Amino acid sequence: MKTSVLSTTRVYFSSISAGVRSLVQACSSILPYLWSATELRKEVTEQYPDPVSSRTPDELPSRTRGLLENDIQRCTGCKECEEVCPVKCIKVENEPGEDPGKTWVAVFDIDHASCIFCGLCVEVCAPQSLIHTREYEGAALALPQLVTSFGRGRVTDEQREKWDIMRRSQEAENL
Amino acid sequence: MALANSTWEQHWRALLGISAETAQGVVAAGAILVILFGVIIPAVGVVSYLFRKLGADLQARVGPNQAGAAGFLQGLADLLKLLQKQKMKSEVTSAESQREGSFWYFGHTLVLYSSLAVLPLGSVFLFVNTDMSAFLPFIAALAAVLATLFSGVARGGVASFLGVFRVSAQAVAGAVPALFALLCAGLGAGGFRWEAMAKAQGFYPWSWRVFVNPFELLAFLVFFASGMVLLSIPPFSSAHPSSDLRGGVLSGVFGRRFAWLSFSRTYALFLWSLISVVMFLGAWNLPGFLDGAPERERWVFVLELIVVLSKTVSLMLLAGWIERASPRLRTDHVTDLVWWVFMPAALVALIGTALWERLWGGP
Repeated sequence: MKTSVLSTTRVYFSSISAGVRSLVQACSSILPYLWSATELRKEVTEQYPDPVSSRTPDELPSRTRGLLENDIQRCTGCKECEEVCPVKCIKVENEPGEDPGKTWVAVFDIDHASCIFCGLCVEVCAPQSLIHTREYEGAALALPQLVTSFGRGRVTDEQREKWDIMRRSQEAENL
Repeated sequence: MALANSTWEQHWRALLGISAETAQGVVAAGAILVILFGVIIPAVGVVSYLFRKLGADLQARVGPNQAGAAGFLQGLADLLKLLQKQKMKSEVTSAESQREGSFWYFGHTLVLYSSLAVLPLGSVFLFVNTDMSAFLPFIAALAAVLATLFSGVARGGVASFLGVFRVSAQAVAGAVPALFALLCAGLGAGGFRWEAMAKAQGFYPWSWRVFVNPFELLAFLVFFASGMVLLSIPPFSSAHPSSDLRGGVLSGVFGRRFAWLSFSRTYALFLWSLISVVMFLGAWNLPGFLDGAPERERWVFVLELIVVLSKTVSLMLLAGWIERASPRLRTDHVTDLVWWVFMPAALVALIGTALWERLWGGP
Protein backbone atom coordinates (compact mmCIF):
# COMPACT_ATOMS: atom_id res chain seq x y z
CA MET A 1 0.00 0.00 0.00
CA LYS A 2 1.42 3.38 -1.01
CA THR A 3 1.55 6.15 1.54
CA SER A 4 2.07 9.81 0.84
CA VAL A 5 5.05 11.79 2.15
CA LEU A 6 2.66 13.92 4.17
CA SER A 7 1.03 10.99 5.94
CA THR A 8 4.43 9.38 6.59
CA THR A 9 5.65 12.65 8.11
CA ARG A 10 2.51 12.89 10.21
CA VAL A 11 2.99 9.34 11.50
CA TYR A 12 6.66 10.10 12.23
CA PHE A 13 5.93 13.18 14.33
CA SER A 14 2.89 11.68 16.03
CA SER A 15 4.92 8.65 17.11
CA ILE A 16 7.63 10.94 18.53
CA SER A 17 4.95 12.93 20.31
CA ALA A 18 3.40 9.72 21.69
CA GLY A 19 6.81 8.59 22.94
CA VAL A 20 7.47 11.90 24.70
CA ARG A 21 3.97 11.91 26.23
CA SER A 22 4.44 8.34 27.43
CA LEU A 23 7.78 9.24 29.04
CA VAL A 24 6.32 12.31 30.78
CA GLN A 25 3.32 10.28 32.02
CA ALA A 26 5.58 7.52 33.31
CA CYS A 27 7.83 10.00 35.13
CA SER A 28 4.91 11.89 36.67
CA SER A 29 3.06 8.73 37.70
CA ILE A 30 5.88 7.49 39.93
CA LEU A 31 6.60 10.86 41.53
CA PRO A 32 3.94 10.61 44.31
CA TYR A 33 5.67 7.45 45.54
CA LEU A 34 8.64 9.62 46.50
CA TRP A 35 6.62 11.06 49.38
CA SER A 36 4.48 7.95 50.02
CA ALA A 37 1.58 10.28 49.27
CA THR A 38 -1.31 7.90 49.90
CA GLU A 39 -1.82 4.58 51.65
CA LEU A 40 -1.63 2.82 48.29
CA ARG A 41 1.74 4.33 47.58
CA LYS A 42 3.48 3.25 50.76
CA GLU A 43 6.42 0.90 50.57
CA VAL A 44 5.27 -2.59 49.75
CA THR A 45 8.42 -4.55 50.41
CA GLU A 46 9.48 -5.64 53.86
CA GLN A 47 12.82 -5.12 55.43
CA TYR A 48 15.26 -7.96 54.95
CA PRO A 49 14.31 -10.39 57.70
CA ASP A 50 17.17 -10.24 60.14
CA PRO A 51 17.15 -10.43 63.94
CA VAL A 52 18.31 -6.82 64.29
CA SER A 53 15.49 -5.03 62.57
CA SER A 54 12.85 -7.52 61.69
CA ARG A 55 11.79 -11.15 62.00
CA THR A 56 13.60 -14.20 63.24
CA PRO A 57 13.20 -17.49 61.30
CA ASP A 58 10.58 -18.68 63.81
CA GLU A 59 8.36 -15.74 62.95
CA LEU A 60 8.42 -16.42 59.22
CA PRO A 61 5.47 -18.11 57.50
CA SER A 62 5.40 -21.89 57.78
CA ARG A 63 5.78 -22.39 54.01
CA THR A 64 8.89 -20.20 53.78
CA ARG A 65 11.45 -21.80 51.48
CA GLY A 66 14.61 -21.46 53.51
CA LEU A 67 17.72 -23.62 53.51
CA LEU A 68 17.07 -27.30 52.72
CA GLU A 69 17.38 -30.06 55.28
CA ASN A 70 17.21 -33.81 54.77
CA ASP A 71 16.31 -36.32 57.47
CA ILE A 72 18.67 -39.03 56.32
CA GLN A 73 17.03 -41.65 58.56
CA ARG A 74 13.82 -41.36 56.50
CA CYS A 75 15.50 -40.77 53.13
CA THR A 76 15.30 -43.77 50.80
CA GLY A 77 17.88 -42.49 48.33
CA CYS A 78 15.39 -42.71 45.46
CA LYS A 79 17.13 -39.79 43.63
CA GLU A 80 13.82 -38.20 42.59
CA CYS A 81 15.03 -34.89 44.03
CA GLU A 82 18.32 -35.13 42.13
CA GLU A 83 16.49 -35.76 38.86
CA VAL A 84 13.90 -33.02 39.27
CA CYS A 85 16.35 -30.32 40.38
CA PRO A 86 16.54 -27.75 37.51
CA VAL A 87 20.00 -26.53 38.50
CA LYS A 88 21.43 -29.93 39.46
CA CYS A 89 22.52 -28.82 42.90
CA ILE A 90 21.67 -32.11 44.63
CA LYS A 91 24.07 -35.02 44.48
CA VAL A 92 22.99 -38.46 45.75
CA GLU A 93 25.09 -41.63 45.80
CA ASN A 94 23.77 -44.91 47.15
CA GLU A 95 25.33 -48.17 48.19
CA PRO A 96 23.69 -51.52 49.03
CA GLY A 97 22.63 -51.41 52.66
CA GLU A 98 22.40 -53.91 55.46
CA ASP A 99 18.76 -54.70 54.67
CA PRO A 100 18.04 -56.04 51.12
CA GLY A 101 15.10 -53.68 50.73
CA LYS A 102 17.02 -50.57 51.73
CA THR A 103 19.88 -48.56 50.32
CA TRP A 104 22.63 -46.85 52.23
CA VAL A 105 22.61 -43.13 51.24
CA ALA A 106 26.33 -42.57 51.30
CA VAL A 107 26.34 -39.09 49.77
CA PHE A 108 23.54 -36.51 49.90
CA ASP A 109 25.01 -33.09 49.15
CA ILE A 110 23.03 -29.92 48.49
CA ASP A 111 24.92 -26.97 47.00
CA HIS A 112 23.04 -23.99 48.44
CA ALA A 113 25.15 -21.64 46.29
CA SER A 114 23.46 -23.07 43.19
CA CYS A 115 20.03 -23.80 44.71
CA ILE A 116 17.26 -21.54 43.45
CA PHE A 117 14.85 -22.55 46.25
CA CYS A 118 12.16 -23.59 43.77
CA GLY A 119 10.87 -26.29 46.11
CA LEU A 120 10.53 -28.99 43.43
CA CYS A 121 12.73 -31.43 45.34
CA VAL A 122 10.54 -31.09 48.42
CA GLU A 123 7.42 -31.65 46.30
CA VAL A 124 8.65 -34.95 44.86
CA CYS A 125 10.12 -36.36 48.08
CA ALA A 126 7.94 -39.43 48.78
CA PRO A 127 9.10 -40.16 52.35
CA GLN A 128 8.96 -36.39 53.06
CA SER A 129 12.46 -36.43 54.44
CA LEU A 130 13.56 -33.37 52.47
CA ILE A 131 12.10 -30.12 53.75
CA HIS A 132 12.64 -26.39 53.49
CA THR A 133 13.55 -24.94 56.87
CA ARG A 134 12.87 -21.29 57.66
CA GLU A 135 16.58 -20.58 58.03
CA TYR A 136 17.80 -17.99 55.55
CA GLU A 137 21.21 -16.90 56.77
CA GLY A 138 23.52 -18.82 54.47
CA ALA A 139 26.44 -16.39 54.21
CA ALA A 140 29.84 -18.08 54.09
CA LEU A 141 33.37 -17.00 53.33
CA ALA A 142 33.96 -19.60 50.62
CA LEU A 143 31.70 -21.33 48.10
CA PRO A 144 32.47 -24.91 49.26
CA GLN A 145 31.11 -23.98 52.70
CA LEU A 146 27.67 -23.60 51.13
CA VAL A 147 27.52 -27.30 50.29
CA THR A 148 25.57 -29.06 53.03
CA SER A 149 26.19 -32.80 53.39
CA PHE A 150 23.51 -35.07 54.85
CA GLY A 151 24.94 -38.40 53.61
CA ARG A 152 25.81 -41.26 55.94
CA GLY A 153 29.33 -41.53 54.55
CA ARG A 154 31.04 -44.17 52.45
CA VAL A 155 30.84 -47.74 53.61
CA THR A 156 34.17 -49.32 54.49
CA ASP A 157 35.24 -52.47 52.65
CA GLU A 158 35.04 -54.44 55.89
CA GLN A 159 31.49 -53.25 56.53
CA ARG A 160 30.47 -53.96 52.94
CA GLU A 161 31.65 -57.56 53.17
CA LYS A 162 29.86 -58.01 56.48
CA TRP A 163 26.60 -56.66 55.00
CA ASP A 164 26.96 -58.82 51.90
CA ILE A 165 27.14 -61.90 54.10
CA MET A 166 24.12 -60.74 56.14
CA ARG A 167 22.08 -60.05 53.01
CA ARG A 168 22.93 -63.39 51.47
CA SER A 169 21.97 -65.24 54.64
CA GLN A 170 18.69 -63.30 54.84
CA GLU A 171 17.93 -64.12 51.19
CA ALA A 172 18.71 -67.78 51.81
CA GLU A 173 16.33 -67.80 54.81
CA ASN A 174 13.60 -66.22 52.70
CA LEU A 175 13.98 -68.85 50.03
CA MET B 1 56.86 18.90 28.85
CA ALA B 2 55.54 21.90 30.74
CA LEU B 3 52.01 22.92 29.88
CA ALA B 4 51.85 26.26 28.14
CA ASN B 5 48.96 27.61 30.14
CA SER B 6 50.23 28.03 33.68
CA THR B 7 47.20 29.78 35.19
CA TRP B 8 46.04 26.50 36.70
CA GLU B 9 49.53 25.99 38.11
CA GLN B 10 49.49 29.27 40.05
CA HIS B 11 46.07 28.52 41.48
CA TRP B 12 46.98 25.01 42.52
CA ARG B 13 50.34 26.01 44.01
CA ALA B 14 48.48 28.49 46.22
CA LEU B 15 45.74 26.00 47.04
CA LEU B 16 48.04 23.11 47.94
CA GLY B 17 50.74 25.31 49.53
CA ILE B 18 53.42 24.07 47.12
CA SER B 19 56.45 26.32 46.65
CA ALA B 20 57.51 27.71 43.26
CA GLU B 21 60.62 25.46 43.16
CA THR B 22 58.61 22.25 43.10
CA ALA B 23 58.25 20.65 39.68
CA GLN B 24 55.10 21.24 37.65
CA GLY B 25 54.43 17.50 37.50
CA VAL B 26 54.17 17.29 41.29
CA VAL B 27 51.60 20.11 41.31
CA ALA B 28 49.60 18.37 38.57
CA ALA B 29 49.72 15.01 40.39
CA GLY B 30 48.64 16.65 43.66
CA ALA B 31 45.81 18.45 41.91
CA ILE B 32 44.56 15.28 40.20
CA LEU B 33 44.61 13.42 43.54
CA VAL B 34 42.61 16.24 45.15
CA ILE B 35 40.10 16.16 42.29
CA LEU B 36 39.82 12.35 42.42
CA PHE B 37 39.56 11.88 46.18
CA GLY B 38 38.08 15.23 47.13
CA VAL B 39 35.54 15.71 44.35
CA ILE B 40 34.94 12.71 42.09
CA ILE B 41 34.78 9.81 44.56
CA PRO B 42 32.60 11.66 47.14
CA ALA B 43 30.34 13.05 44.38
CA VAL B 44 29.92 9.67 42.66
CA GLY B 45 29.39 8.00 46.06
CA VAL B 46 26.67 10.45 47.06
CA VAL B 47 24.96 10.19 43.67
CA SER B 48 25.06 6.37 43.82
CA TYR B 49 23.41 6.47 47.25
CA LEU B 50 20.75 8.94 46.10
CA PHE B 51 20.11 6.79 43.00
CA ARG B 52 19.46 3.76 45.17
CA LYS B 53 17.51 5.46 47.93
CA LEU B 54 15.35 7.74 45.79
CA GLY B 55 15.02 5.00 43.17
CA ALA B 56 13.70 2.67 45.87
CA ASP B 57 11.22 5.33 47.03
CA LEU B 58 9.99 5.82 43.47
CA GLN B 59 9.41 2.08 43.15
CA ALA B 60 7.74 1.70 46.59
CA ARG B 61 10.67 -0.21 48.02
CA VAL B 62 12.66 0.32 51.22
CA GLY B 63 16.10 0.64 49.65
CA PRO B 64 19.38 0.60 51.58
CA ASN B 65 18.67 0.86 55.32
CA GLN B 66 21.20 -1.23 57.19
CA ALA B 67 24.72 0.17 56.78
CA GLY B 68 25.01 3.54 58.51
CA ALA B 69 22.24 6.06 59.08
CA ALA B 70 19.47 5.47 56.50
CA GLY B 71 21.81 3.09 54.70
CA PHE B 72 24.22 5.85 53.73
CA LEU B 73 27.24 3.57 54.01
CA GLN B 74 25.71 0.81 51.87
CA GLY B 75 28.05 1.61 48.96
CA LEU B 76 31.06 1.13 51.23
CA ALA B 77 29.63 -2.14 52.56
CA ASP B 78 29.06 -3.35 48.98
CA LEU B 79 32.59 -2.38 48.01
CA LEU B 80 34.07 -4.36 50.92
CA LYS B 81 31.95 -7.36 49.96
CA LEU B 82 32.96 -7.17 46.30
CA LEU B 83 36.64 -6.87 47.17
CA GLN B 84 36.44 -10.13 49.14
CA LYS B 85 34.64 -12.14 46.49
CA GLN B 86 36.48 -15.19 45.36
CA LYS B 87 37.05 -16.34 41.83
CA MET B 88 34.48 -18.64 40.34
CA LYS B 89 35.51 -21.44 38.04
CA SER B 90 34.37 -20.58 34.54
CA GLU B 91 33.36 -23.45 32.31
CA VAL B 92 33.11 -21.27 29.22
CA THR B 93 36.29 -19.22 29.15
CA SER B 94 39.89 -20.12 29.75
CA ALA B 95 42.07 -18.42 32.36
CA GLU B 96 44.05 -16.66 29.59
CA SER B 97 40.97 -15.15 27.98
CA GLN B 98 39.70 -14.07 31.40
CA ARG B 99 43.02 -12.36 32.08
CA GLU B 100 42.87 -10.70 28.67
CA GLY B 101 39.31 -9.58 29.38
CA SER B 102 40.42 -8.12 32.71
CA PHE B 103 43.21 -6.26 30.95
CA TRP B 104 40.71 -4.63 28.63
CA TYR B 105 38.38 -3.75 31.48
CA PHE B 106 41.33 -2.14 33.19
CA GLY B 107 42.06 -0.25 29.96
CA HIS B 108 38.41 0.66 29.65
CA THR B 109 38.26 2.41 32.97
CA LEU B 110 41.77 3.81 32.85
CA VAL B 111 40.97 5.64 29.63
CA LEU B 112 37.79 6.93 31.21
CA TYR B 113 39.67 8.14 34.28
CA SER B 114 42.23 9.86 32.07
CA SER B 115 39.46 12.38 31.45
CA LEU B 116 40.04 13.56 35.05
CA ALA B 117 42.70 15.88 33.68
CA VAL B 118 40.23 17.60 31.35
CA LEU B 119 37.24 17.85 33.67
CA PRO B 120 35.76 21.34 33.58
CA LEU B 121 35.04 21.76 37.29
CA GLY B 122 35.52 25.52 37.39
CA SER B 123 37.84 28.26 36.16
CA VAL B 124 40.45 27.37 38.80
CA PHE B 125 40.13 23.61 38.37
CA LEU B 126 40.76 23.80 34.62
CA PHE B 127 43.89 21.93 33.64
CA VAL B 128 43.86 21.45 29.93
CA ASN B 129 42.14 24.37 28.28
CA THR B 130 42.81 23.86 24.60
CA ASP B 131 40.82 24.68 21.48
CA MET B 132 39.50 21.11 21.44
CA SER B 133 38.88 20.60 25.17
CA ALA B 134 35.21 19.75 24.64
CA PHE B 135 36.17 16.78 22.44
CA LEU B 136 38.51 15.17 24.97
CA PRO B 137 35.94 13.59 27.37
CA PHE B 138 33.98 12.59 24.27
CA ILE B 139 37.00 10.76 22.87
CA ALA B 140 37.67 9.18 26.30
CA ALA B 141 34.09 7.84 26.36
CA LEU B 142 34.52 6.41 22.85
CA ALA B 143 37.84 4.81 23.75
CA ALA B 144 36.21 3.30 26.82
CA VAL B 145 33.53 1.72 24.64
CA LEU B 146 36.24 0.39 22.32
CA ALA B 147 37.97 -1.28 25.27
CA THR B 148 34.65 -2.87 26.28
CA LEU B 149 34.42 -4.33 22.79
CA PHE B 150 37.91 -5.81 22.99
CA SER B 151 37.18 -7.27 26.40
CA GLY B 152 34.06 -8.95 25.02
CA VAL B 153 36.03 -10.39 22.09
CA ALA B 154 38.76 -11.56 24.47
CA ARG B 155 36.24 -13.58 26.47
CA GLY B 156 35.53 -15.75 23.44
CA GLY B 157 32.31 -17.60 22.71
CA VAL B 158 29.25 -16.81 20.62
CA ALA B 159 27.37 -15.04 23.40
CA SER B 160 30.30 -12.74 23.97
CA PHE B 161 30.56 -11.84 20.29
CA LEU B 162 26.84 -11.11 20.13
CA GLY B 163 27.26 -8.86 23.16
CA VAL B 164 30.08 -7.06 21.37
CA PHE B 165 27.90 -6.46 18.31
CA ARG B 166 25.14 -5.03 20.49
CA VAL B 167 27.48 -2.71 22.38
CA SER B 168 29.30 -1.50 19.28
CA ALA B 169 26.12 -0.87 17.27
CA GLN B 170 24.72 1.15 20.11
CA ALA B 171 27.94 3.08 20.77
CA VAL B 172 28.30 4.11 17.13
CA ALA B 173 24.64 5.11 16.99
CA GLY B 174 24.99 7.26 20.11
CA ALA B 175 28.30 8.87 19.16
CA VAL B 176 27.23 10.45 15.87
CA PRO B 177 24.30 12.65 17.02
CA ALA B 178 26.24 13.49 20.21
CA LEU B 179 29.06 14.79 18.03
CA PHE B 180 26.66 16.96 16.01
CA ALA B 181 25.15 18.32 19.22
CA LEU B 182 28.63 19.09 20.48
CA LEU B 183 29.27 21.06 17.28
CA CYS B 184 26.10 23.07 18.06
CA ALA B 185 27.51 23.99 21.47
CA GLY B 186 30.78 25.04 19.84
CA LEU B 187 28.96 27.14 17.25
CA GLY B 188 26.89 28.86 19.93
CA ALA B 189 29.83 29.53 22.23
CA GLY B 190 32.25 30.48 19.45
CA GLY B 191 34.77 27.74 20.23
CA PHE B 192 35.43 24.46 21.99
CA ARG B 193 37.50 25.76 24.91
CA TRP B 194 35.78 25.16 28.24
CA GLU B 195 36.52 28.77 29.13
CA ALA B 196 34.83 30.05 25.95
CA MET B 197 31.79 27.87 26.60
CA ALA B 198 31.49 29.16 30.16
CA LYS B 199 31.95 32.77 29.10
CA ALA B 200 29.18 32.47 26.52
CA GLN B 201 26.74 31.92 29.39
CA GLY B 202 25.86 33.41 32.76
CA PHE B 203 24.73 32.40 36.24
CA TYR B 204 21.02 32.94 35.72
CA PRO B 205 19.02 30.38 33.72
CA TRP B 206 17.92 32.89 31.08
CA SER B 207 21.56 33.32 30.09
CA TRP B 208 22.19 29.57 29.65
CA ARG B 209 22.69 28.38 26.10
CA VAL B 210 19.62 26.13 26.25
CA PHE B 211 17.37 29.13 26.85
CA VAL B 212 19.21 31.63 24.65
CA ASN B 213 18.77 29.60 21.51
CA PRO B 214 15.91 27.09 21.04
CA PHE B 215 18.02 24.97 18.70
CA GLU B 216 20.59 24.55 21.45
CA LEU B 217 17.83 23.26 23.72
CA LEU B 218 17.22 20.60 21.09
CA ALA B 219 20.99 20.02 20.84
CA PHE B 220 21.20 19.62 24.63
CA LEU B 221 18.42 17.03 24.69
CA VAL B 222 20.05 15.13 21.84
CA PHE B 223 23.51 15.38 23.41
CA PHE B 224 22.42 14.11 26.81
CA ALA B 225 20.22 11.30 25.48
CA SER B 226 22.82 10.21 22.90
CA GLY B 227 25.46 10.17 25.64
CA MET B 228 23.26 7.80 27.61
CA VAL B 229 23.03 5.60 24.53
CA LEU B 230 26.78 5.78 23.89
CA LEU B 231 27.65 4.89 27.48
CA SER B 232 24.80 2.37 27.85
CA ILE B 233 23.15 4.22 30.71
CA PRO B 234 19.63 2.97 31.60
CA PRO B 235 17.03 2.92 30.04
CA PHE B 236 19.35 2.53 27.02
CA SER B 237 21.46 -0.11 28.70
CA SER B 238 20.12 -3.34 27.30
CA ALA B 239 23.33 -3.92 25.35
CA HIS B 240 25.23 -4.33 28.62
CA PRO B 241 23.01 -5.87 31.32
CA SER B 242 21.08 -8.29 29.14
CA SER B 243 24.35 -10.09 28.70
CA ASP B 244 24.14 -11.00 32.39
CA LEU B 245 21.30 -13.28 31.48
CA ARG B 246 22.30 -14.51 28.05
CA GLY B 247 26.08 -14.26 28.26
CA GLY B 248 28.06 -11.50 26.61
CA VAL B 249 30.49 -8.73 27.34
CA LEU B 250 29.77 -8.67 31.06
CA SER B 251 29.61 -12.41 31.68
CA GLY B 252 32.20 -13.37 34.25
CA VAL B 253 32.52 -9.86 35.67
CA PHE B 254 32.22 -10.08 39.45
CA GLY B 255 33.95 -9.07 42.65
CA ARG B 256 36.72 -6.50 42.25
CA ARG B 257 36.20 -6.22 38.50
CA PHE B 258 32.51 -5.56 39.02
CA ALA B 259 33.24 -2.87 41.64
CA TRP B 260 35.75 -1.25 39.28
CA LEU B 261 33.33 -1.37 36.36
CA SER B 262 30.29 -0.15 38.32
CA PHE B 263 32.17 2.85 39.63
CA SER B 264 33.48 3.65 36.17
CA ARG B 265 29.97 3.57 34.68
CA THR B 266 28.63 5.95 37.31
CA TYR B 267 31.67 8.11 36.67
CA ALA B 268 30.89 8.00 32.95
CA LEU B 269 27.41 9.38 33.62
CA PHE B 270 28.94 11.99 35.92
CA LEU B 271 31.38 12.97 33.18
CA TRP B 272 28.67 13.24 30.55
CA SER B 273 26.37 15.25 32.83
CA LEU B 274 29.22 17.57 33.76
CA ILE B 275 30.16 18.39 30.19
CA SER B 276 26.47 18.85 29.33
CA VAL B 277 26.20 21.36 32.17
CA VAL B 278 29.28 23.24 31.03
CA MET B 279 28.19 23.34 27.40
CA PHE B 280 24.50 24.10 27.81
CA LEU B 281 23.45 24.79 31.40
CA GLY B 282 25.46 27.80 32.53
CA ALA B 283 28.73 26.03 33.42
CA TRP B 284 30.27 27.24 36.70
CA ASN B 285 29.27 30.89 36.30
CA LEU B 286 28.61 32.86 39.48
CA PRO B 287 26.29 35.88 39.85
CA GLY B 288 27.77 39.04 38.32
CA PHE B 289 27.94 40.95 41.61
CA LEU B 290 30.61 38.54 42.88
CA ASP B 291 33.04 39.57 40.14
CA GLY B 292 34.24 42.60 42.02
CA ALA B 293 34.13 41.05 45.49
CA PRO B 294 37.28 41.46 47.59
CA GLU B 295 39.50 38.38 48.00
CA ARG B 296 37.44 36.66 45.33
CA GLU B 297 40.22 34.27 44.45
CA ARG B 298 40.22 32.63 47.87
CA TRP B 299 36.81 31.03 47.76
CA VAL B 300 35.75 31.38 44.15
CA PHE B 301 36.83 27.85 43.33
CA VAL B 302 34.63 26.46 46.11
CA LEU B 303 31.59 28.41 44.90
CA GLU B 304 32.20 27.47 41.27
CA LEU B 305 32.57 23.85 42.30
CA ILE B 306 29.33 23.94 44.28
CA VAL B 307 27.46 25.52 41.36
CA VAL B 308 28.73 23.13 38.70
CA LEU B 309 28.41 20.02 40.90
CA SER B 310 24.87 20.82 42.05
CA LYS B 311 23.76 21.19 38.44
CA THR B 312 25.58 18.00 37.47
CA VAL B 313 24.06 15.98 40.31
CA SER B 314 20.60 17.34 39.47
CA LEU B 315 21.03 16.25 35.86
CA MET B 316 22.18 12.79 36.97
CA LEU B 317 19.15 12.47 39.25
CA LEU B 318 16.94 13.44 36.33
CA ALA B 319 18.52 10.59 34.36
CA GLY B 320 17.88 8.31 37.35
CA TRP B 321 14.25 9.39 37.48
CA ILE B 322 13.76 8.56 33.80
CA GLU B 323 15.54 5.25 34.37
CA ARG B 324 13.15 4.25 37.17
CA ALA B 325 10.08 5.30 35.22
CA SER B 326 10.82 3.67 31.88
CA PRO B 327 11.29 0.08 30.86
CA ARG B 328 14.67 -0.80 29.41
CA LEU B 329 14.56 -0.45 25.63
CA ARG B 330 15.65 -3.31 23.41
CA THR B 331 19.01 -2.69 21.69
CA ASP B 332 17.58 -2.55 18.17
CA HIS B 333 14.84 -0.19 19.37
CA VAL B 334 17.53 2.06 20.86
CA THR B 335 19.52 2.18 17.63
CA ASP B 336 16.33 2.81 15.64
CA LEU B 337 15.42 5.65 17.98
CA VAL B 338 18.85 7.19 17.57
CA TRP B 339 19.09 6.94 13.78
CA TRP B 340 15.46 7.90 13.10
CA VAL B 341 14.89 10.55 15.76
CA PHE B 342 18.07 11.79 17.46
CA MET B 343 20.10 12.04 14.27
CA PRO B 344 17.63 14.19 12.29
CA ALA B 345 17.07 16.28 15.43
CA ALA B 346 20.83 16.82 15.77
CA LEU B 347 21.08 17.93 12.13
CA VAL B 348 18.14 20.32 12.56
CA ALA B 349 19.78 21.68 15.71
CA LEU B 350 23.10 22.17 13.92
CA ILE B 351 21.62 23.98 10.93
CA GLY B 352 19.26 25.96 13.19
CA THR B 353 22.07 27.03 15.52
CA ALA B 354 24.22 28.12 12.57
CA LEU B 355 21.38 30.20 11.13
CA TRP B 356 20.45 31.61 14.52
CA GLU B 357 24.02 32.67 15.22
CA ARG B 358 24.31 34.18 11.74
CA LEU B 359 21.08 36.16 12.09
CA TRP B 360 20.86 37.03 15.78
CA GLY B 361 24.18 35.96 17.24
CA GLY B 362 26.89 38.30 18.45
CA PRO B 363 29.75 39.60 16.33
